[in-house]
Amino acid sequence: MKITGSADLAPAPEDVFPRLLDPAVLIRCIPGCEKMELVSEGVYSTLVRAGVGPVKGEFVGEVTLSDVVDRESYRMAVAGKSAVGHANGAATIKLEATESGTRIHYAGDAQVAGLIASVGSRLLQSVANKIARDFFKSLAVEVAAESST
Amino acid sequence: MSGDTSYIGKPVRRKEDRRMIQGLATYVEDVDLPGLHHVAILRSPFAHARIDGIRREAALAFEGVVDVITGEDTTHIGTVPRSTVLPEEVNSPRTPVLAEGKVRFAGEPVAAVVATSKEAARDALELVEVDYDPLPVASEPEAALADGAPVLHEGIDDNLAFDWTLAGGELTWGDARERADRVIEQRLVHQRLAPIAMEPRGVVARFDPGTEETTLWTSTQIPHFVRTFVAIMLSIPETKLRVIAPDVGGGFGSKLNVYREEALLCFLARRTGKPVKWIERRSENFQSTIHGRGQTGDVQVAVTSDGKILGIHYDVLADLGAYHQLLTPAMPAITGLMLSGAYAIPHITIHVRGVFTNRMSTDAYRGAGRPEATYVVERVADLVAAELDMDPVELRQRNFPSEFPYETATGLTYDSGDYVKALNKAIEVGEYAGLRAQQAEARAEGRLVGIGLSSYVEICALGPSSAMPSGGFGWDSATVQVHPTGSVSVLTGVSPHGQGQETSFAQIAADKLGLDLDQVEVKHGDTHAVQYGVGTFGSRGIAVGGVALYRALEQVIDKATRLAAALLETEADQVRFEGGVFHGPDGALAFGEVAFAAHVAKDLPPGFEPGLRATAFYEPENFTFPFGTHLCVVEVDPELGTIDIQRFLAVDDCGKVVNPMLVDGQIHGGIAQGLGQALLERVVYDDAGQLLTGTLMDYAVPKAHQLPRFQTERTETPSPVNPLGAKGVGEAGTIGATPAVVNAVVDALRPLGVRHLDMPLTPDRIWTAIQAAERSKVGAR
Amino acid sequence: MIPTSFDYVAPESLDEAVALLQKHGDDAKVLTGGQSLIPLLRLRLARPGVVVDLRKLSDLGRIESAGEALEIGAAATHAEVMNSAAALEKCPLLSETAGEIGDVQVRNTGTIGGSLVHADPAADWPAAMLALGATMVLSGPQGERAVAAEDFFVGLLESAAQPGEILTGIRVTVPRQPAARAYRKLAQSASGFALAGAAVQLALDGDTIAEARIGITGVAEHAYRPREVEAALTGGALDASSVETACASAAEGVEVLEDIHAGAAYRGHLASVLTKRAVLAAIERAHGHAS
Repeated sequence: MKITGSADLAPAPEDVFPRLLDPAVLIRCIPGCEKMELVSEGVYSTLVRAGVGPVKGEFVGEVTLSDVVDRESYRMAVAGKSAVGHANGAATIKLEATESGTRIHYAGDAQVAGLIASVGSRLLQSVANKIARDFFKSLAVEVAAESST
Repeated sequence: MSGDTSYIGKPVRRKEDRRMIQGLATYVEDVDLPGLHHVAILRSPFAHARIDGIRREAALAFEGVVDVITGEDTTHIGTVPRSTVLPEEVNSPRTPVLAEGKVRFAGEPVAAVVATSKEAARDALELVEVDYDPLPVASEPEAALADGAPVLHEGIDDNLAFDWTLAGGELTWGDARERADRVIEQRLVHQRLAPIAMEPRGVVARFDPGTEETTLWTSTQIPHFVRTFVAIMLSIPETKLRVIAPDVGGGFGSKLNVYREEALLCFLARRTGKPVKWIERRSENFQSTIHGRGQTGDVQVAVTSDGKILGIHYDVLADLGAYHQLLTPAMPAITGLMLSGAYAIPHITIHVRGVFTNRMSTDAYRGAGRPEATYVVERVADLVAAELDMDPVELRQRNFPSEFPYETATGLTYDSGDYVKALNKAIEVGEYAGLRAQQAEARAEGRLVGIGLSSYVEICALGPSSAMPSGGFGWDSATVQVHPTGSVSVLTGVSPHGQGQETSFAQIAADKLGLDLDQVEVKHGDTHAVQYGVGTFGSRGIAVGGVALYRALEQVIDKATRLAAALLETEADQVRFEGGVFHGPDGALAFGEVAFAAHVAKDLPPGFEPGLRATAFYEPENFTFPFGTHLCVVEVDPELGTIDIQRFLAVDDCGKVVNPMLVDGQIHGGIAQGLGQALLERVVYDDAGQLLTGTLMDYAVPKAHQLPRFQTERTETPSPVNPLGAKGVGEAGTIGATPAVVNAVVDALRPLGVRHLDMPLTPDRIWTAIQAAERSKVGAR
Repeated sequence: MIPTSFDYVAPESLDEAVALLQKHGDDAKVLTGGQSLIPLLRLRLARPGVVVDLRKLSDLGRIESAGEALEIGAAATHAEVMNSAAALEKCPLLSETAGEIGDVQVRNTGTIGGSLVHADPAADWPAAMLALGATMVLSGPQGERAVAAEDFFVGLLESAAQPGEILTGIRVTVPRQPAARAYRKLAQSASGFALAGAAVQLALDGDTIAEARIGITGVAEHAYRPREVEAALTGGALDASSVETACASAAEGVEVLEDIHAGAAYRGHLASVLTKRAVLAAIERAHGHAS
């Protein structure tokens, strides 16, 4: 599935960018993330409880942050496996300075394997979109909180 | 028994129905044994991946688990077999029972857990840890053939299982093109289908340590084959393996196979010493039972301006899946053989490339290669008719062979066939002229009404080994065992799983021997009880199995006549067997009396063996060629894109009919599956090889309320190939129905400029095609 | 198709049920008809530690007429609503919609409450609830609260019911008369769910529409009211052409779902066509023609 979109945040790119690479922030933004521990440079082991409605899976895996161009862009790859299937995705995230702050553009792919692919295909795109939206909603809250302190 | 009641040709109710309807049948799931253990199979979620490691400790420690095995434990087991039919040269990689270092389709078995309960097995399955290293995936055949495509099998770098061309006929393709006034082209897609028998697969295996015999119960169409090949795979003697097909809830070709799980369960029973059971879940059935069809082809037709088809050139990619199953490569080859359809076509070329893809294997599914051929030819007929502005009936009549036997450009000899008769009957019963008049009126009102035909010929009752380039097994067997008390057991080598041969074979035997139907018992499916047989598939039950029975019956009557003659103190040629009685010049004996005497065996004539039993093995001299015409009338709702089938008429000729009710049942079921392909069904894999249609919520099997009433008619042209005159009918409905519906829908949309649509004809596809056609009309102004 | 192990409890009172949900949090799942839950359990997509069966709460199964309103217990089956004399008399859109759900077996077992809380984007009930302006009554540790249909369908498989809350009933006000109603749906051929479905409840005034309420399902992440269409129909003419024009924007402003069964363009188009057909059918029925 393709996941593309954009989100507008109040602070400027130089304030937003470091948040995006901060595991303490990411753990609060990735929906359902309960663990994010540094394993090696840019690589974090994660536990994410993700799902939609009554369907939930405990995804054990990794988040990898790479191709960092300060204040401009980076790449985030997510992979996890659970009893309901495997999920992975990668997106390029670009920051654009705007009059009101920052516009974040995200473009990437997500792929699932296993049970959720074979029984849930009609919902997968919506779920992927929702996860992306929720991530940036939480991020907006995070950066707003930061800025107000 | 009164001899003047003939069973043949009567709609006798099925003997097997009593137990089926009352829930007294025994399917594999019903087989219960003391100490039974349960097997759960771990399947790959990835379509293509290396296996870096498997850890089973946690699963082994789970309460109730007695064993956990992986591909490391099964390397000694031989490959899942592939039968050599056609084409001759095929790249045949090993198909392992459990994945060895690599998985190549989503659903491939990776590990198996044996436990005391099915719940424990299922729970423990989740504790088996597999490290997958995903690899790039080739899901579509085109992707597997593209530059830089991932290689599925070591040593087969181009992912091609075979590249096969069959070309023939009195003209060359070059000549056909040259003489033609037009060459029409079209791409045709046969989507993958899931057979969805009501009963999924299942296997029970038990090893007897005393006799060292393994018994395998399996939901199969070919029990003897399974015995032979599983024995080979496990390197055990066939004498130590018994295979039982109990009641089988449908197969449609999907159980004409030897599956990994059959060898696996046999292996586990021997390894653990426990009786073991595995029952396929429906979601497993979608992933790891064979799929049907899966061909994408480009057809070119050379035709004269007065509608004579001079040649067909068909270039096709066959989506084989990651591994071969029993008949995987043969399907597109059979398509090639039948590409002449019901017509006399001076040239035919088929060029097939069989491609390995990261998907489940394709193999035989109701029609097995012939629906594809008929669809191509019947769409071609309508495309040509449309292009030349000719009535599709006339186009067909112009191209039927003018005399029989007719040898096709593909090398087959059609024995007998009054295709014109079937077409004319369809035209007459369907009131074709009236239908076209009604269509004209409807079109004047702006309504989208379409009429579609399909004149098909199909090849079945495989078959004569002389006609099959490599591979035989075209025969089947029957034993007629007469008991002292005069009743008869028929042991048939075919393996019915819904076809009703417990009844139709009893009809044949009862008629021949002058018995009541309930004096005859038909047994099948147990390799310990029944002599070697080939099985039930390819519409061969009556045309091959029934004829073997007929031959055995003749032998029994012959022997009984000689004994009766001796008992009546006359010569055999003075004895007439009629109505169950041997009539001599000075007396008569009932069949039962002779049967008893044969067993008492006192004062038998010289050279006469005691007992009364005969076994026949019969191989037909030729295939049989059932044929027919299907006629369909549809109306399309342009706003919704939905199709209403207003009429479906099937005229089928399956030769002489033993039980018309069973034939109707086969036609109805066949048409239902044919309509399913045309309108509803499609197996969908995404580009990562994930199966998206994994349940019945996304794969639309036709339901009763979605189907119209079928009107069925018959013509009866006896087959000259066997004494029963029977041809076979199991697949004809499916073969004929699909193109009739598609032709009708395309005809309905013809005023809008639509020339072709691919199956399934979902409302979205129809609406989208209508929109596109309207846009291009606007653009053209 | 074996679920993971779970504990099964069948409370005898609503308070007991609420307390159980409080205690177990999101480790508990509520069961009534099971038509959504049981497949999820068997596929192991849902793994609750506790299943709380509400079917002993007989109050939850009642369908009662209460003046100008109808009170439908959340555990009433689709078939019970379909055949309910009170529904047929006072609010026939309910019966019509119920009759389009699944098949006979599903209707005999599945419940309206279960369907609403599950909030499948292609379920039939949400469309009717929006068209009727129904109110969902929830019971939780904080007591009872009512949520309007507009606010009940929040997201993909997400209703406004909070963890620990139980949907106990649905309150439907008898529609404004003279009324016209219809539900038109195109079913996905495998599942029977709506590729798109439009439930329409109109109040007529002579030869115009005084009020139009429409619920569309199957098209977006949750059922919604196409406000522009409702506005365009209000005060509008009843002829086919006018209705068609008014319904053209039925999928505007929503993100139309796309899956292997139907693309977004087709689904969006279905929203308009089915809304139009429902409106015209409703009018025809109200004027005493075919029903």
